[in-house]
Amino acid sequence: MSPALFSGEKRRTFAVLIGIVLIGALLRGWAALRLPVDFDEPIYLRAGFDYARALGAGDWDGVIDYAENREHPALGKLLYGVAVLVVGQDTTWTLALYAGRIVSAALGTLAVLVLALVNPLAGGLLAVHTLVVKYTGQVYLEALPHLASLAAVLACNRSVRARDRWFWLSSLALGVTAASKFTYLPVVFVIFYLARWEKRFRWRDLLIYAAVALVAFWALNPTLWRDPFSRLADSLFFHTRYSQSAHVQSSGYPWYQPLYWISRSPPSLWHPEVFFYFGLDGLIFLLALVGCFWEWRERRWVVVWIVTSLLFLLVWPTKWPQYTLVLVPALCLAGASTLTHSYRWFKEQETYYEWLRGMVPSPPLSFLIISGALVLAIVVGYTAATLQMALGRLGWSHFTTQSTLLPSNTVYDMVAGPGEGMVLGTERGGAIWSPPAATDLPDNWIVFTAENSGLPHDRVLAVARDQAEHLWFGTEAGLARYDGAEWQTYGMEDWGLRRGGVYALAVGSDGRLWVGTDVGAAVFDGQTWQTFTIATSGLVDDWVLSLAIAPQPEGDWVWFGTQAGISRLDTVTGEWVDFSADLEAGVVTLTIDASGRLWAGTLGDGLGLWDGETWQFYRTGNSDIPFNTVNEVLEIEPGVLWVGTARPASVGGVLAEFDGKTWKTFEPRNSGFSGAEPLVIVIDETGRRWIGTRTAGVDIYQVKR
Amino acid sequence: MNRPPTLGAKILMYAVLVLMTLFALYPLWFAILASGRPGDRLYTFNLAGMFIPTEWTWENYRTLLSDTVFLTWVKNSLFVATLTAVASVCLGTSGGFAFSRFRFRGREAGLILFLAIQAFPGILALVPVAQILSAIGLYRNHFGLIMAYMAGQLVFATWMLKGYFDTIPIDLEEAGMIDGAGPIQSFVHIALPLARPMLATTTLFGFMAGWGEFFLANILIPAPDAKKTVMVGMYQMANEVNIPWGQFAAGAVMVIIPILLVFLYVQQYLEAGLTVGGVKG
Repeated sequence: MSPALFSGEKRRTFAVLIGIVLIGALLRGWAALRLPVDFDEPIYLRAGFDYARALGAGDWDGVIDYAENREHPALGKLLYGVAVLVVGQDTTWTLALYAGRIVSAALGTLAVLVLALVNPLAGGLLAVHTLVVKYTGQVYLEALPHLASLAAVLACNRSVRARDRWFWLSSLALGVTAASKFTYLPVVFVIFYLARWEKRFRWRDLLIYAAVALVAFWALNPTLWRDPFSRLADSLFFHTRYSQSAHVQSSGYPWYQPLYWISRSPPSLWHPEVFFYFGLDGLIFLLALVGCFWEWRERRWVVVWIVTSLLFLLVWPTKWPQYTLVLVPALCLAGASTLTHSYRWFKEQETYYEWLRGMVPSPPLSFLIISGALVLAIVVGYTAATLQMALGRLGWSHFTTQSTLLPSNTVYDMVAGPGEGMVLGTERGGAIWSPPAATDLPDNWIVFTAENSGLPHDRVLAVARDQAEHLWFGTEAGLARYDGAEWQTYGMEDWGLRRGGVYALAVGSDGRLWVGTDVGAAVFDGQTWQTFTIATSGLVDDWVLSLAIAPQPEGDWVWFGTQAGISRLDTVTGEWVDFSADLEAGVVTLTIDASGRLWAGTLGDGLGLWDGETWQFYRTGNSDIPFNTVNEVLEIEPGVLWVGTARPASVGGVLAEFDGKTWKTFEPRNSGFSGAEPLVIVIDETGRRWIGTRTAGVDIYQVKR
Repeated sequence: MNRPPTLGAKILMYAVLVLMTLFALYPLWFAILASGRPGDRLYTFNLAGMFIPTEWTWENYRTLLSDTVFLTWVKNSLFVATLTAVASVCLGTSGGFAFSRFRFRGREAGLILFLAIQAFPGILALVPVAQILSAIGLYRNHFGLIMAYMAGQLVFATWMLKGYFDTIPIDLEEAGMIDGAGPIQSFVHIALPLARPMLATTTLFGFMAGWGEFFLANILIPAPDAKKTVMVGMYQMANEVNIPWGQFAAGAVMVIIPILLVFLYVQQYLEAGLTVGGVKG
């Protein structure tokens, strides 16, 4: 493009457009990377995975007959499916989520561009509208119909005569709108008003317009390729039923709730960490109300758009905030009209009086430099941190009671297997998880409670698998063995101790089961029990919190972590060694590493290392260990430990990696770790690392390939 | 006749001045050092590290910006402080002008009442203010907080501006009226431009009142986090069980910047405003 063709006013306009689009893209990208997973995102992402599988396999029947979430047209979900295909069907959930959100953000930014081309100021308002930023930065179904409905109206307005290219574009865009989400269809009234009253299109042209839109709707909605009328009726009637459902009623939104959504900036309250900037939604709404005065005289279709959409929102019983997006572009247009007229009026006054020029001081250079540096530092720092966090979240997924059949979000212990599965001990029972047979099938859970199994108590504090592949569940009130069919229960009457609470389980290399309780320890060889207490053995304390088996050439050494230190038993000689003098806190976890060294996690005394001769302690005072309360230690590869630490006096914890020299932490700010207190860490057969937590279920980390 | 100070007296004088300057600036320098110290520590065992940055990290700033709602608190404070400043200047200007130029029944009593209100401890008004805001639905609302600030700030602004308008010869406005200007035009086009120094001063004070105030903000907007002002948010941060001292120091450094910017913006008028206004009743 020659400079002559691209100079002056055009260059300024181009620069403004670029600026607006950049702001829109930055805010949407920001939201996409930082927003937590919202209510409906897993549903649409699951649909995206399923569509990706069908598309990848060339299974068109699978696409056409996909039965889930059929109440919404397929096009938006198909787009997410394509995004999943691009990143690979075997991708992690997190990466697919980001891919879907990026698609959504790109479409949202495109909507900003389309509106800015017509009215840059309106485009600027749309770029910063927090409701639009939120819902076009997530895997929702809003971004595409938001763009398409806007394009349909603006193209119709641009159309000079029937059947010109804008006419066809508008009808196609309306078809895309319908194939994406039905709640954007109130723009039909605006288009009808524009075409019939302002453009004076003939009825025949309107019918042609509608026919093209209908064909586009049908062609882009594969669900309707088979049995279209019945499926369309099902889909539409679903919304009528849903609007009267208990779910909608329980939300308790009054009929005027949409006015609340658009007159405030609710995302700023929901996600203050994301929407830290001034939410202008309320101001845009007020400006739009005033702007209707001018729009009624200049662009009446904008008022028609506002009135019809607002009426729909007020009348329709379902009041979800994302529904208001159908109205927002019109508000931005009317709001921009107010700003433009106000600016003109002020400019006229100022030209005459030159009052502001005298009253408002020109900022000094130092002011501009410091302001610019501050804004730059915040934008760069924030963007860098956001990218770091987003990249850190890759590979992480979560099991919670909300998202799976996990019986409780408090997971005390886990043991890997069978196969790729996992056995979990939780606050409300034990569970066996196994992966789904295919991506479109749910995963498998078997949950055991005191009511439906032989568990003596729901609170399962320890789990183990013996050499015969029997599962052992140590509970608050005894021990249970499960062989896959039958349960066998053991209690204090069996092992002869005063109480039956089991805190630790370990299987020796000779197959014997070691049990740690709050009144001593016991070992079971399948026939008989032998008990160990302070009174009858070299155990330093009766409250046994952890156990570790160190196989030796002649037999096992069994390490007992107790409330008052560590004891070691040589199972061959029967000799006990007392390590309590070196420890000042309870020992809740013990691990033998690949070099045969013992790592001991303590309740407040840091992480201890016994190399066979001396103890070395890693504490916050002498190392970068996050906290001195260490709930779990696991060697994830030779020489590298994962350490679960707990905040000493508040909720939550930090996961840390220690390679013998440096500490690296996993927190919500730099990874997908939930930030809950880690209680147990296990590696499964596929190499995934499972972190059972006190309050957030299980965090799972798939090592990056 | 004054004798010039001796060399020893000069040295002593400058030593005292330097020491007092260091004493005044060290807390700020200490906060800057702590904000860049790794590991959320307020102190360091390295003695030199208490005076110069022997180790430095931006982690505290990064964490503060990305992991907390600090920027939201800053946004809220900016909103409250800006509106407080603008509203108190707008209302205070018209009030001050009226008290200065017009003679009306109750003028003297009104001025004395304003002084009495100013003398009333704000903390005693807290309960009725909270009750009134509750009654009109502005409790836990930024506009309620702005109204509470304005109640105090307006008195100060009115008195200061009244004093400044008294220093502006009324002849100028009368000359304008001879040319056809009405009272409002003479106020807007003659008196206001001449009162710029005091407008700048009251704007700065109004902004500072809204920006740095803690007590009212803590009571009137106790929750949620997303609505708190920066001072209340910082206080909450400093009351956690595990106080993130590094982040706290980084926040303390960052909250200075908006005040600094406002000061830079209006500084060209400040000197005149501070020295002239308020000395003539």
